[in-house]
Amino acid sequence: MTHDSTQPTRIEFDPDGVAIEPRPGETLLESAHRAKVRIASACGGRGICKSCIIHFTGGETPPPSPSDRDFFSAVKLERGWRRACQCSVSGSSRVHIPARARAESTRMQVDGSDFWVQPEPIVASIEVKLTKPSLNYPEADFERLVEALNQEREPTTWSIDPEAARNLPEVLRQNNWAVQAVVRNDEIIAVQPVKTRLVGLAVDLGTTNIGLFLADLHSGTTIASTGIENPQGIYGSDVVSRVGAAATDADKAIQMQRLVIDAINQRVQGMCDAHNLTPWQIVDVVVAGNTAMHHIFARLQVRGLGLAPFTPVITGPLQIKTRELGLACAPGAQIHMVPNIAGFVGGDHTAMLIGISAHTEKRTVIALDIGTNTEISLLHNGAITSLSCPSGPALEGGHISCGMRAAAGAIESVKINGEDLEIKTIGDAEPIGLCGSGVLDVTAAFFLSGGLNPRGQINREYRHTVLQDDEPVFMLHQGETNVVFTQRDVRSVQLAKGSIRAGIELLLEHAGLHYEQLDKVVVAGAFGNYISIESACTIGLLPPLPLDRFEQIGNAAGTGAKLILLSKTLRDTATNLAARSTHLVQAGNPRFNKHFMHTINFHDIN
Amino acid sequence: MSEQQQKLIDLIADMNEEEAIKLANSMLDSGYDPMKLLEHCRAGMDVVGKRFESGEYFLPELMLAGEMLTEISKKAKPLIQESQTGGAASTKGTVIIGTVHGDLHDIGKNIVTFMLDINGYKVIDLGIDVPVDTFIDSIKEHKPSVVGLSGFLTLAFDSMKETIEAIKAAGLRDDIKIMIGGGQVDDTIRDYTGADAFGLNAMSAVSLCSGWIKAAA
Ligand code: B12
Ligand code: FES
Repeated sequence: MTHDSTQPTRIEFDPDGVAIEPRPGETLLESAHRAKVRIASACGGRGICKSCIIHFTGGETPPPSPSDRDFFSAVKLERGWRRACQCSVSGSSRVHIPARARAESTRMQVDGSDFWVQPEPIVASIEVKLTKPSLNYPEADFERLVEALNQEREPTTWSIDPEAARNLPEVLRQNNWAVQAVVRNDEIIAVQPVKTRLVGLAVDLGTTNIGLFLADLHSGTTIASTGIENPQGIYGSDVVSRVGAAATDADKAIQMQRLVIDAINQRVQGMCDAHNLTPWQIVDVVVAGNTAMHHIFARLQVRGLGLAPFTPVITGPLQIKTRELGLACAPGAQIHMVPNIAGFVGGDHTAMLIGISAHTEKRTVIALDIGTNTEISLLHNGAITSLSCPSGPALEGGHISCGMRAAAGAIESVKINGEDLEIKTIGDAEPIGLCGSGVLDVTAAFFLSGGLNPRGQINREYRHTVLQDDEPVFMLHQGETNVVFTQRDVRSVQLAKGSIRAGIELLLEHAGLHYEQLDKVVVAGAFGNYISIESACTIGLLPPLPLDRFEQIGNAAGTGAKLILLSKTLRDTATNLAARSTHLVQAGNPRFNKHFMHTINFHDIN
Repeated sequence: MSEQQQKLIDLIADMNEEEAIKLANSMLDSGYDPMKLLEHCRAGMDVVGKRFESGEYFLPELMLAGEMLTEISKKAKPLIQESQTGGAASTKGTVIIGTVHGDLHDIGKNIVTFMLDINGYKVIDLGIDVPVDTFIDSIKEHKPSVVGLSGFLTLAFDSMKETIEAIKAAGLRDDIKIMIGGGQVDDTIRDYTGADAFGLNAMSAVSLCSGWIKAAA
């Protein structure tokens, strides 16, 4: 079919059935994102991953780019396979997006363990009754409000947020001079009808997912919680890609910040609607994110985070008015950005430490949140030492040949039963790929059953090995989409798990400890919640301790952010913890290399 | 080849660090020619390299082999200098290598350095986070045939580009070949940085150098 120049060009995306007119020079990936059609783009469209593979099924098929020519076999190119970020369409085409590239994560678990804390919000509401203005008493609205407040409270010098002042006349008159003032220290941040519920918002700002929690600041109960995908994913799945994009292009930095704000506003509005609230009732916000997410969110420069020596703009706590960042809340509400510990150990880790009560922990504990960057803390004798391991995305299914998000059809667990593979997928659907927990299980299961030798080499004679282009691969599922696990995939897992375990060993060595001396290993984070600890120990990601010493606690960072929102005391504790944590730098540390060398294989080389 | 020689080669190839060092030491102690001994080490290392390429070995083996040989040469090299004063072992050529500024990853670079060294190149390793000027000064001083830039961070590609542009601006570009490696390098990155070639592993670094230096000779 040739392109008819009188017709507008259109790209039609299957199976969604959405169509859009491509803009000149735009990649297909960009067109799809504009059309709000989901195509995974782990590397942010730089052409170095394979998450954006698509299939031209009709109309014009663009010629392959040089890098796609290296990437696909001639047959695949001929049949219309391309990477969405590596091609642009000039004519009309029909594009099929395979399930693996469409998958949206179902594992946006936001809840951590249960907790209770004495609510002790940083904002307070004070009910006041003002005298009506009259010719005898013509004082300004604000002065009369202050007068009333000073009758209720120890007199002080009150100030008012300008936005709250703008609304003041209306609110006072509509409520017949009986209102509640919401105050934060000496500042009036909102004036509302009496008995308005005080609501706070805690945000666990992850690179992949964002957890949102609305809490009642008086009772401490969670009103609603939800998880959304971080919409910055189009700029790459790891922080370094995001930092790279934001550092080289100021417009992109602004765009990325807006994406997150818009997504939060939209979802918070939905949560409020469902609970008869309005966003202007939100009088306090806490945001915990890694240093890069923190900087992009607060519109701080990220340049320093990209290259050595990784200097953040700020590690201490930061207060910003919500409106300054475009977040829809009460007029003068502030955002408390949870302090970072170092360039790659961010406020989300600080929040996690609060979530696991690190400040009262007496035992010797390793706490880690596994992700593209895995932050690890060792709690020992009242001291906290932290570091960040650049584990990469392999353990989350990224940069794995058949890797995918934890969505329907993702293999989430694998066991070997005698000669057979026992595969379980999310939603019990036909397998289309592997998510992180599946990657871990496959590696462990094949290692235990002789498919991998201790150095990670695939055994050609193994029962589930097949040859693909003369390379041995594990065949996990044959069907509409074949699911295989390649030698390169095994190598990626080895590097990822090696770097995490080397980080653990470095922390232990630094404190003069052996892993046997650990009372507890706390695995936090949404990902860590789904993995099999047994598999993680088998492949040496975690030290070989009795299983009862491990605890999978879910989203401790989210829990921590909520606690920091609800309790002034814990907010100070968090700031304190971040300030007194020692950050152990691995870069340039020869001991890291030493440990790494011994943790890459499935058993120690000596 | 004597049984003892073969044994040393096998011990190295099989990653038997303790035994290999013990045997090498005892051979040197009993007056074995240190040059010849290092030659056996190289032969052992060839096997390690081949096993790496075939997928039998992975990075830890390369790193460990590196340590093993460093240990052995620590004892052998001074003996060589004693026996052949001035007779500096002939090298195939000089290679300058370093991790570009902003990047601190050096495991990959160290393996490359070591493999080049064992294959008879004189390698000047400038270390990590190497400023552009250090590369320029070192090129002026050592007049290498090849410069290798290593970097694992995506943002290090910009540092590579900067380094190569500066080499060009200093008028030194035409006399040398530049190879890059580490991380996600490919031909697009090579083109972006202005390097002559990229290598995915230490073996390809060796073959790139031997290709260039042979061609020049
Ligand atoms: C080990 C490691 C570290 C160690 C480095 C130790 C050291 N002394 O080198 C430590 C912990 C210090 C570290 C720190 C960081 N790292 Co790091 N690190 C890794 C890791 C796990 C492995 C890299 C490695 O050494 N591989 C082993 C090498 C030897 O394998 P190889 O590539 O096959 O090696 C061959 C080739 O590269 C080639 N080669 C290498 N150089 C050259 C040169 C030439 C000329 C040629 C021809 C060939 C060549 O030959 C080698 C031998 O065969 C990767 C993740 C991964 N899974 O790959 C991340 C990774 C590289 N790190 C990453 C990051 C972000 C960091 C940090 C910024 C963040 C952090 N969390 O701390 C810091 C910053 C340090 C800095 N400024 O550089 C990211 C980079 C992402 C990106 N897109 O830029 C990665 C990819 C992980 C990730 N996705 O998050 N890291
Ligand atoms: S290759 Fe296209 S997004 Fe990574």
